Amino acid sequence: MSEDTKGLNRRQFLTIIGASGGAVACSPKHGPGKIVPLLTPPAEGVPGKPTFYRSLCRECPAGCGVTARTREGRVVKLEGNPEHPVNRGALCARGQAGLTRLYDPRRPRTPLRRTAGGGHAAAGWEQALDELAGALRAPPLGEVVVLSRAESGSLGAIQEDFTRALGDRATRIVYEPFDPAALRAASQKAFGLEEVPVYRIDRAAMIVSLGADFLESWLSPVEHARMLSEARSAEGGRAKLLFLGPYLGVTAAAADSWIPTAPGAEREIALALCREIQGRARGALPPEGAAALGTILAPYDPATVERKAGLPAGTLAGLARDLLAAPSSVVLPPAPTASGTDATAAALAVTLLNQLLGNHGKTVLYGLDPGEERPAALADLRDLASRMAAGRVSVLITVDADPVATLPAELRFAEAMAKVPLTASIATGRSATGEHSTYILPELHTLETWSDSHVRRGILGLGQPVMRPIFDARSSGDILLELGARLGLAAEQFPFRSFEEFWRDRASSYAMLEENWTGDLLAAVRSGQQVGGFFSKTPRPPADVTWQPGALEAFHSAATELSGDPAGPILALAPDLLRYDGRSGGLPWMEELGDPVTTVAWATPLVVAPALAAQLGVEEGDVVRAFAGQENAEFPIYVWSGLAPGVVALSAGSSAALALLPAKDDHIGGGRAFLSTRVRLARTGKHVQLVKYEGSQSQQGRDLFRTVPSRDARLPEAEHGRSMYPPAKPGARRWAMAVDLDRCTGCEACVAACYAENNLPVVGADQVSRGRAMRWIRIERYVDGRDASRKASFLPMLCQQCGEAPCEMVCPADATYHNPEGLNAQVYNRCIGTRYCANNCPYKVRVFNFEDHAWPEPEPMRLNPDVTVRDKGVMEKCTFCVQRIRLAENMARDEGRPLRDGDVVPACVQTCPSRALTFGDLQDKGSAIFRVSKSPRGYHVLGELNTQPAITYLARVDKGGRA
Amino acid sequence: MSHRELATAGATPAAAGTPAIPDIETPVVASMGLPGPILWTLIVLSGAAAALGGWCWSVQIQRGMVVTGLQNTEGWGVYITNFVFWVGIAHCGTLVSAILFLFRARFRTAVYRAAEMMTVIAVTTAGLFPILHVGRPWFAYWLFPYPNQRHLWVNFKSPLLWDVFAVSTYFTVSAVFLFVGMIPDLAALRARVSGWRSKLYGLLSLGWRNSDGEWRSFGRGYLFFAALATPLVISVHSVVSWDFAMAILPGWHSTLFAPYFVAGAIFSGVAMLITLLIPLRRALGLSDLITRHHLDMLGQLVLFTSLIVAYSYGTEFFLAAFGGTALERSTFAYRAFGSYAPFFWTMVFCNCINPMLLFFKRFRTTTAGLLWVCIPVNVGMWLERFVIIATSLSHNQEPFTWRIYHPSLYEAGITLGSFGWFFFWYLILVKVMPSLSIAELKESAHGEDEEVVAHAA
Repeated sequence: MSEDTKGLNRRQFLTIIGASGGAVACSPKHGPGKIVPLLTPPAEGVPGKPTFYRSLCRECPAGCGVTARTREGRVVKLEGNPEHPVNRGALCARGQAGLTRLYDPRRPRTPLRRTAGGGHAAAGWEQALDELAGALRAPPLGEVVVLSRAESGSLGAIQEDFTRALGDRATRIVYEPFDPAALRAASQKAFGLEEVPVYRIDRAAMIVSLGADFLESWLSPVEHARMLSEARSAEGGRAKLLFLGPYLGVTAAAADSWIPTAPGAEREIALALCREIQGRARGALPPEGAAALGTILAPYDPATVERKAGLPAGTLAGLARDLLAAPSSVVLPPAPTASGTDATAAALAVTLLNQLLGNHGKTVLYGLDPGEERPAALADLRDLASRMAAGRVSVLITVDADPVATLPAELRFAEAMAKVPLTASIATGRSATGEHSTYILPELHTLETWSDSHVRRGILGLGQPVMRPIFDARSSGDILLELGARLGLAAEQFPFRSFEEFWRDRASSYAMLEENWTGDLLAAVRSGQQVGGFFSKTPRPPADVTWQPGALEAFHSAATELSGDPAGPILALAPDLLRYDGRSGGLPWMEELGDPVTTVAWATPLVVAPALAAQLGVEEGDVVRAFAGQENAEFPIYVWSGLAPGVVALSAGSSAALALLPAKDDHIGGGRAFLSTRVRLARTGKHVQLVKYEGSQSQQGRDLFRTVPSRDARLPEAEHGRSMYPPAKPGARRWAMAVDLDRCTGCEACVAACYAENNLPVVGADQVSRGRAMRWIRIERYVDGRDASRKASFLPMLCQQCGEAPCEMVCPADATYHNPEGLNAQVYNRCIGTRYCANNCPYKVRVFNFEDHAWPEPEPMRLNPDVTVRDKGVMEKCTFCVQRIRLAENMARDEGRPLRDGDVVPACVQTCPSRALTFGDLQDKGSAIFRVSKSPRGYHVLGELNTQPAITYLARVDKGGRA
Repeated sequence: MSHRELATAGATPAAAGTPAIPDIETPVVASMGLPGPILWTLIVLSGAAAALGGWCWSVQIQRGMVVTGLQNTEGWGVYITNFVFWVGIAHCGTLVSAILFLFRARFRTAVYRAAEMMTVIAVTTAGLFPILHVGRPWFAYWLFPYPNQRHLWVNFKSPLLWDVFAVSTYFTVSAVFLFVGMIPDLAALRARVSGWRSKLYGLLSLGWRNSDGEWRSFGRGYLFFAALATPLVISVHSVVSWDFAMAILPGWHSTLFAPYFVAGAIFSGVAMLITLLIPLRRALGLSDLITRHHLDMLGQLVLFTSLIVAYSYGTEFFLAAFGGTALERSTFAYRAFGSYAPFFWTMVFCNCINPMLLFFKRFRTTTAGLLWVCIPVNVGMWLERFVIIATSLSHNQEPFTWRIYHPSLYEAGITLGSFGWFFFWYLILVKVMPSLSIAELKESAHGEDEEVVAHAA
């Protein structure tokens, strides 16, 4: 290189490189933090492999166990815990939506304090707890009230300890809006045992539900669904279910016949049935004797009951005959939401009927209720509201309870809260009570903390954190412990450093006392955690019960009193399978799924019968104002023919409905009487577009939903011309599914499972109303028959994975094709979005991404990493959960064995509470699916099109058929 | 008779039967002068409409098909309606130039160039819609089978793929046919214009020197072209109809569709041609060349195809009632009496009842009478495709999913845009290129209208 070369020479270049490299190496500022994955991951965390933890579902008081599937440290799906005796692997839609509660974008992320402007602003935990402790200490020492939902476990116990430690001025009120108080009161009267019995529906050959929506919200719906299925497929013969009540809901639709009766007539019907059978009673008569009983039952003659209840005398006599003829039976008392001021008398009447039928100890079991929580009577809450309004309460702490949204508006609970100097709402999500509280204290979700649930004797469910908390939230137990520490209560009353310790202590004492565990109690708790609780191997024997004298006096109580306009229709509550008492309302899946009966999503309309709608001159979507006493509210109309005459219905999950109803209580049991008023309806002239899924209510005679007169009746084969093409060569497998319509109740658990498993986006009310819901499985609800013989049918519809698929040949881009396992695979990357496949699909199960969907933080954390999130312009559909097929195949390969029947379980099949779905390889002659698909009741929907679907439907057993 | 009328109606006073060659070129050249204020306004308006459509499409690309009224139940709507409509319009050109040429229908001479221009523009317009309606238009090129690095191929079983071939073939053939037919005219006009036009015509006339040999080759070539293009008239719309007929949807799945769609296409195409010609011959001062006789003949064609279309409607319902399944019957009952019944009955009026007026000569020979029939036919034929698409999808096999489709404003904007696009290019084309065939008209004027054929023979 010559001397006069311009620019750098080699030495200069190296000097500069060296200097700058050194400067970078010595840079005082750190680069971004951890950008490499953990070099030594936790032992259980294998990237790409799911880890399962057992925990609890706390979405309703039923106490089901869950298995949480976690991936890379975060929970992505909830499934039922197969070892939990209550739900045995199944989980309802609401339970699965517990996951969306965890990842709800609206969840408060830090403590929030109310601002002068009325809103809430972020505050620190220290500030919140200091202020709360200060208020608890500050003179004058007013009352302290802890208002909690029922917590039959450590959370309830620590609240009890906390209030006890605070002394007399503190009380704990347990508030469960739908608490079956009448059942406890009735059993107290009848047997001197204050408890809720266990109804063994599975053991009954004849099930009569007098207004008990046992498949929707009453007591333990998932368990009941399984029991009903078992009863219907019992060896000895198919159990018969009759539903008497004013509303054709999910339970009524599942019944062999729905007998529309007047609301609140259950007591009279039960007593009339007692009167019919008293001479032939199988159980012991009450000690008052036959004569006294006869006198009491005398007024309930069939003619009177026909007049009052709308139950034809002939039907009543037939019912009595059937009940006596059945080898076993069970009569279910009205649900709290269906009961009026005579709720206890009605429950007692049903108890008497079960007694006369000899069902106690067989299908109705006492002595199993652990009785840990005693929810308060309505009077206690009324009293609380007045004490608060009078300024006597200085601190109100609500824990997972939402009195503002669920109590009658006339109690003015929100206004009363304003009179309390400090109110704190401890809850996972936002609630109406939280909005009215000084502090919103974010609580850890059940899946982020410790919990337990003493469902019944011999069953203690254990909940544990399955992932690290995503927000700055705390367990309600820890919050109370912290408060206790600040108040100096800790030493004596709370010898615990954390709620976890408290929980562990209680769990180990349970293991010791109830399970007779000896030795290492910590190991006992660990094993309990692995199983999901302590479930005693031998079921606890039920208590022997004897009818107490004096119980029959209850029947002298007057019938349900209804306030409101005497000429107006009676307002009944329709059970809400998705929102329960409103606590699951607002969760995206629960709003988007749509009520199975009305198919209305994102709203809770006023359900009126066609005759009344015509009389009022309103149509679907017209807004009416309902007046009940002092209260009134506006509701859009949904016209539904499944209503008894003179009744309108509102969803029990609608806080507007719960607020509208007057504050009346059951005269004996003290629970809230929801059946309490007639309403006056006035047109408003407004109209809204109801967001609903149904197109035609009728099947149009297409026989999509078929019935057979008996379990063994054979359906005729579908007639279709011969195919022009040679039969397809059998592939490696033929994945197939069977849907037993005799078991399916339309509960939509499968739909929720699909949303979770396959990352289905929630598109919102507007897009659903435009027919763009992104669901791979839907429940089609059809209504057939007239008036009293009206029947609602639920037909789950998903991709039929046709052997000769109409969608496949029309795709120009080959984005959908037939794979060797018989699946109609959809390749998102190839799809250009002509939508021809959807047009040509006779089952209309393909859904198109009309837009890019929003996944607000932290929702992306719950997305299943095994399933692609689809972009706009792409068609999608059910895959039979192909990712689960692949996982099962890989596991089998790892274990060096062939795939076995039952290894592959799609999400919908896994969760079905009534076990209506069967899945497997049709080419495996030994498989369950092969056997079920050959059922004489089997048929293909639209079989005449000869698309050779992989889904076999098993016809509903119904003597009357569907017209 | 046409040449006589033509001659007597000529601008230059001349003895009957005397050839008056300049009388043809002058008005044609005059028609290609600078547009007047009305035409300018029309060009600007249609350009603006096309731009509006383009803007709507850009929003649709950005936000997705969410801006349309489409839904899971109704995957197709206005876009496919427009596609079929424009393909139908495109039918007229080839029919007039090729089939009528082979049938020696003399009246075609005056109108076929305008018809061919309409065809090429209409098929271009139609071709936009398959791209417009897909969810991911940026991948629309995946529909073309060519060896590619993606190692993926297309599905030849899909009627949509047949469409790709049918439409692109039709476009190619009709464009070449139009161009070849124009060669002698462009050569003739080359000397009569100046500037860029002269250069353009010079280039496009491919060195035509008007020699006898060239004429012989031209005539022969034109005849072969006509023979080749004729099956296309039948095939293109048959293929388009198979988009529906190959699907198993009730109301679509019918063997009737191909002939029914072809007749409908000719029907709508001729009606559109009349709708365009009447104002054009006035605006461009071509009333002497495109005479009432020509319009009368076109009117008869409309009447004839209207009868076929009406017969097809009847047959569809008959098949549904007589041979069809319950699903078919339900769909057709819905078509006639359901939510879309107003559209259906408007269609019946426009396509079957109103055209019967053409039985009266007065309606065929007056521009007002023809417009009274032909404009509703354009509406009716658009509605026909809409009704077929919307009712069948709306009332599909699964009653639970039955829904009604309401097109959105964006779809309306794109539809309007397609009309804007069509008229914009059409108006420009008739100004830039000779919209009448000078050569053939001259031959007609000489009473030698068989000459081209004679050359060919």
